[in-house]
Amino acid sequence: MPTDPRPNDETVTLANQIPLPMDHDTDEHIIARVVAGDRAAFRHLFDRHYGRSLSVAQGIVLHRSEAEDVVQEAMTKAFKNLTKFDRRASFGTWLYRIVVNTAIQATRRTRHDRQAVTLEAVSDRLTDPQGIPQLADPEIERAMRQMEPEDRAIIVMFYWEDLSLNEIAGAMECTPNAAKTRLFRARERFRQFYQGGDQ
Amino acid sequence: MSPLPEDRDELLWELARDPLSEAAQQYRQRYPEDVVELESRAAMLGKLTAAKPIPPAIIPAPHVLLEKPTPEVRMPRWSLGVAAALLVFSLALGYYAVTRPQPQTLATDAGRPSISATGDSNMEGAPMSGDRKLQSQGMGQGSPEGMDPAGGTAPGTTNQVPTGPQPLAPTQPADPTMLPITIQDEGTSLRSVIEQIGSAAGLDIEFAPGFTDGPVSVRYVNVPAMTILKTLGQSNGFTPLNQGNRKVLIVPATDPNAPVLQDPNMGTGQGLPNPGTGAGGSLSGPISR
Repeated sequence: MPTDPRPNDETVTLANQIPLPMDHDTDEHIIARVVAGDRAAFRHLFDRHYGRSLSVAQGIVLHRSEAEDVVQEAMTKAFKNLTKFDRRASFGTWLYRIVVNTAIQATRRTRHDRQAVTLEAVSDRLTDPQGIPQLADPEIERAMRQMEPEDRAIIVMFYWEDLSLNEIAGAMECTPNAAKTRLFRARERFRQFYQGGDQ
Repeated sequence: MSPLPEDRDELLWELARDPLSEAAQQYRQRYPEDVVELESRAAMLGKLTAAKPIPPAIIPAPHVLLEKPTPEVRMPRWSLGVAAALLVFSLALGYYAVTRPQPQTLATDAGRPSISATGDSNMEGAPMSGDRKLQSQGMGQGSPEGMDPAGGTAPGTTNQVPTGPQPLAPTQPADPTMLPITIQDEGTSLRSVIEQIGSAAGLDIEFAPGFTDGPVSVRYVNVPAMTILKTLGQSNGFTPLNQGNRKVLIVPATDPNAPVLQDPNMGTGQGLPNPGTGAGGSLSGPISR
């Protein structure tokens, strides 16, 4: 008995009610849904870019929980400014720019706060649990801590996240040639700190 | 070790990322003097990439979605114009209320009583010193010590109308007999004074036969016309009867059963002097005949 290939009304109704699997959607599709008012769709963008964003943020601020706060703050900024996303670059590049800027600001804020503490507070901090290593290799962490956050950002994006110079240029708001120059200098400084120990 | 040329240095960094690649093997064969440098860089970059944090097993929920969305309330632009127009209108209304012309005051020549009808309810009465003083007329009888709001004053006290905070009255009372007026004169005939009160308040005064005229001195400031008439009647032997429709009949006798004065500015009216005594107790001071 031949079956009618056309879905009946009930099937069509159910298909309309069940959301499409978002994993197959591109960032642009999800962004369009979010901009159209589907706030929950942003969760898919968040999940998709959380890991790399956290990695970049942790490489800059060198603290896990602080990096988590940075990513949440950056994601909130991205969500609230999603209508301003001009699609000239990919959403990931645009998001990394926000993450990098937010992480650098957080690092400077933390540094400023630490400069204001007293000697007693510094002494307490030396025994604080926050002194636990944040990276797997203490030598790498020591070298990274001696670098400027902008240099850490470009090293992390290039060697941890394998971003191209074009993508790094988009995230750092510079030209690819400038990104290449910055990478070269940052790498040399890292090597100096890595080989030279504490300066 | 001399510094490497820029192109070789850049190439060396690239090969150090993957030192086991075929390109790296070929580089080692071609530039054996850079092998140590290549191995050093490869080891450093190997540690650097290995130090990458482990991605989280559980991705937290985005905070921005946990917040309760706040609908953006955008006021239309025309509402700003409406608000500005209302503000300007209210300012203009307030300005008009402050600077509007006051009701006309009838200023009289010397020897003529000064009468004015105003909407201002602030009553400032002061005794009018006439030919006779109340205290010299024995008007303190039956009155409490101090000021008697309807009669005389105790000896040695100043005869004044209460000047405390008074309730505001409407600018145009519905009853014309309650229109506050100001009148001041000395030695004028009682009939003339009554007529001027009626004129100021817009009343049609009629005198019943037998009305006795005589000189009086009065000074009332912002006192309702009917109150003045009643007060004058108490002291001069007549009774003003409100006939309605702005008509007031002056009857030459004091009605002992006349209603007690109810003017809030006047108190209860208790202690009114006996009209039969001929005493001129009044709200605002002695009336001399």
